[in-house]
Amino acid sequence: MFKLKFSDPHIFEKIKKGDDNAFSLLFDESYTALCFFANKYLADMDSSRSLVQQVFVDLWIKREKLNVLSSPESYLYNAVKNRSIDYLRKGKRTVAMAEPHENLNPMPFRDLMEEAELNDRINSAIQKLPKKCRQIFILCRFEGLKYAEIAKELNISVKTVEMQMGIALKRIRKVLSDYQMINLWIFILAKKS
Amino acid sequence: MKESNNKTEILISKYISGNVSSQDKEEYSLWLNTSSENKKKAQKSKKAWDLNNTFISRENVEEDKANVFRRVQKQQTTKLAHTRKQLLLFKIAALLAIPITFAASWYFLQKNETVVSENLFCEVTAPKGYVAKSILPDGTEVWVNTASTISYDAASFRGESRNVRLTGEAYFEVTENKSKPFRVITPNANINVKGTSFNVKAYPESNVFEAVLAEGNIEMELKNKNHQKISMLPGERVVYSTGLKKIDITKVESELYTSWRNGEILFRDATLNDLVKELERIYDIKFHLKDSKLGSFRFRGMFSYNNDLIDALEKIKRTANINYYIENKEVWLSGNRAD
Repeated sequence: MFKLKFSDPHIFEKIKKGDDNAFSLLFDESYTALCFFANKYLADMDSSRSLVQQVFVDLWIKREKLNVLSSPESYLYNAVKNRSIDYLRKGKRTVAMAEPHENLNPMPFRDLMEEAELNDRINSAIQKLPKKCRQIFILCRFEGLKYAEIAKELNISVKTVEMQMGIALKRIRKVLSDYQMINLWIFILAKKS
Repeated sequence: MKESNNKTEILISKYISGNVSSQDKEEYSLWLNTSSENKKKAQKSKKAWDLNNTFISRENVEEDKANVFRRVQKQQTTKLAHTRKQLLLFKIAALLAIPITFAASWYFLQKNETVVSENLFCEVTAPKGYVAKSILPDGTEVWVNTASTISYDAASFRGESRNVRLTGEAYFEVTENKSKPFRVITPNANINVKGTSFNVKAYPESNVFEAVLAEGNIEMELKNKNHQKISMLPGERVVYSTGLKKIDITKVESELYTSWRNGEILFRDATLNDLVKELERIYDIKFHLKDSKLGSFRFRGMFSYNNDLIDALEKIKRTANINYYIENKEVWLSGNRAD
């Protein structure tokens, strides 16, 4: 079950005809989720981003060969997955034999995908935080700064940092609640039918 | 109620991010053991914190998207003969020298709709010795200085933001539209605009980013660790040296920095070195100084892009008493008395 949904169900048909707006929309609606997905395999966000970019470039170049009946979601996820595995194989060859790559990710495809989409939701919740709040959260979570260091760096009080971090975490946690609600809904619906 | 709620959130985030004092720790475990609901809240918070260990900012996404469109454009030029013709038309018009630019812009204002819908990615380059003027899909006017390039994704102008990439120097007169922010993207800093006129200088070979604001207000966003933002006032010039990580803000006569768009360069108290740098850019010719001491010679005056090289050199000769000769398509300058 793919959760990544495109607002336009005929998006592939349009892209095939050379509609650049449709292509632009496809990018906007799936890029970050696919980056998080690639990152599950590569564990390196920079490589993940450039890999997903290449998937989009190739999709447009070869758009005439697109199968409009395939679902864009499964097309994109599979393309990213295959390329990620390719990338790891090629890397392995030069780096020497480490662990076999099947062990690299014991999690099944579907779970990885769902987790990537959850990552994406959290990511956009962080993007949507008010400017100051976001800045503080990023410094704390992703740059590993302590409250006191953040306060010093931004020239604000530690109290403000505490307050903003409280707001940030509350909002990000809310994503998780909403997400679990959706899961629950699907469960109920499935049971009924 | 609200008060205590906030306090709880602060406590949870302190605990999870590892910013607790021993007193906080006690308070936290007290709170945690009060109810199973609290425990659930704590678990969920921990999960939300742990799940993402990297962040993709909106700016990252925009950059990556532009990159995709740029690569697509590069690879498909042979494929899209029709689009290419339109693009070529666009380029030719953009490359026209000043006397014709106004006519060309008028033409594009009329033609705009069709050109935009045909193209993914538009690029305007002014060749050496010319200034190109272009009107963007939203009516914003851009003067592109010699040997500089602007590019933008025409589709994005119909979307929620207006992004223009710049290498080199350009002057913008941005059409006001509060709901669609206008942004100039360069490798070292971005400019965020509401509707205003300003000059941006970001030559790739130089590690200095410079912006001069003529009117209105803009925000400069540096691409350093903090994404530091600087609000600029009219008449201010901000110079950001990426090497030294130094920011200089000075009050200037913005006219001096923006006159090039009329095909003129004003110099006030500039050195011959500064002047030579500009002339090399305009005329695409190499200059040499016979005596390096000449380089610090102070200079004032106005040059027009429409002058030919000899006019310019004659002008220098008259005002500064500096002789010139041309050898192997390179210009040599020498002090008068020495010769």
